[in-house]
Amino acid sequence: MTRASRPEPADRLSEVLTAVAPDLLKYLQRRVNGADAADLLAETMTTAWRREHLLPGEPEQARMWLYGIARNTLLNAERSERRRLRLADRLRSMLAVHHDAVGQPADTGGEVRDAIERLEPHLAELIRLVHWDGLTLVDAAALIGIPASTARGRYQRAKQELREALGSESIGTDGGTFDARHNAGAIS
Amino acid sequence: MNDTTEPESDAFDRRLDASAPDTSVLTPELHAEIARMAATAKRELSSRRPRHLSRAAIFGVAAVIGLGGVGAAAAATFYEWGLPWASNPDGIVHFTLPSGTDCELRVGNFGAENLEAAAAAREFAGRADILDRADVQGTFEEMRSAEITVVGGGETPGDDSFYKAAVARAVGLVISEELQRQGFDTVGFSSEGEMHCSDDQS
Repeated sequence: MTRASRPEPADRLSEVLTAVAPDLLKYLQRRVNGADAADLLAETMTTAWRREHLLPGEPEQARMWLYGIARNTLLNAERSERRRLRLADRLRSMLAVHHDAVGQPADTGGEVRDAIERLEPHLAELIRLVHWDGLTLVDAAALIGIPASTARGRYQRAKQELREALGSESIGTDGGTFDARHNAGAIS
Repeated sequence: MNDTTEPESDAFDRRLDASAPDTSVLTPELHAEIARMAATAKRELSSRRPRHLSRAAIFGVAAVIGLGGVGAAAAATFYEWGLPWASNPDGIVHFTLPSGTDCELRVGNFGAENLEAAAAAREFAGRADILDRADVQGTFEEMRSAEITVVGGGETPGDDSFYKAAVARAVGLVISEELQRQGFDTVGFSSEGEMHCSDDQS
């Protein structure tokens, strides 16, 4: 009798981590410097392994589970001292080299980033999750821990404030469809 | 002309999308390193050799007084609690640090998209055996034995600091695990805690 080749949980976490970690690294790099991002990614990974038995079976849930761990790791790091983990040593060095090599194009989006930064923190993070990290509004709401309907209202408000701050002429043209593009492109 | 005019919202969305800070280009080398980390993280976790725990630390774990709900909170209040909810918390944990200092951790202000999940968390936090269920010692050993360098100055955390962090982390984790055991999705679940110790240094 042939047994179904269902991956063991450890194998699954290894697979999911390998698949999602590049996105987690980008998520972290958009919020902290490269060295800290490397450490936070390492901490996210070790936390995930420690909680391996809680890994959701459904791929999308597993992905968001890792985002949740990364977000908590980030929030914890903001409240306490930054730690340097040996696991991240090599990645930290590599990111330093890559940052020097790539760099940020001069003034790319700087005005918009400044405007986002001036929003209330909970509005700014919603904008970042949707527009920087590519999460659907529903996933962003779940990650932050608010109802989707609340997120929708906050998102509208955040965009309104950004339009006003950035001097866009047209306001309110997308009230009903503002998140259609993002919600349509569900992360898989 | 109109058919070539981009909808305002699309243009604005694109402008927001384009404002994302630059991140590293994921070269094959970076991908390989991330994959190595993903695999190594497990080994690193399991190979961390626990350091010797002082008797005081072990005693601290064993000498947990208990945890109660609001009634117990009223009886136990002798600190000034800063967070608004902490004077009426959902759970209270008493424990003793490796140095012998007595501490109190209060948890509450649970937030979740699913209100039933938040209610379940409140109920679980009020149970008397929450600290027995929390793996404080394992968390303490893990944190203590990790290769940690404090960045940005300050003193290297001592056993008491690790122990405080371990209690908070372990209690938070056991609540989260309980919610998942009950079938709730804990993505986005949040809670707060406030801790005070008799030496007034926490």
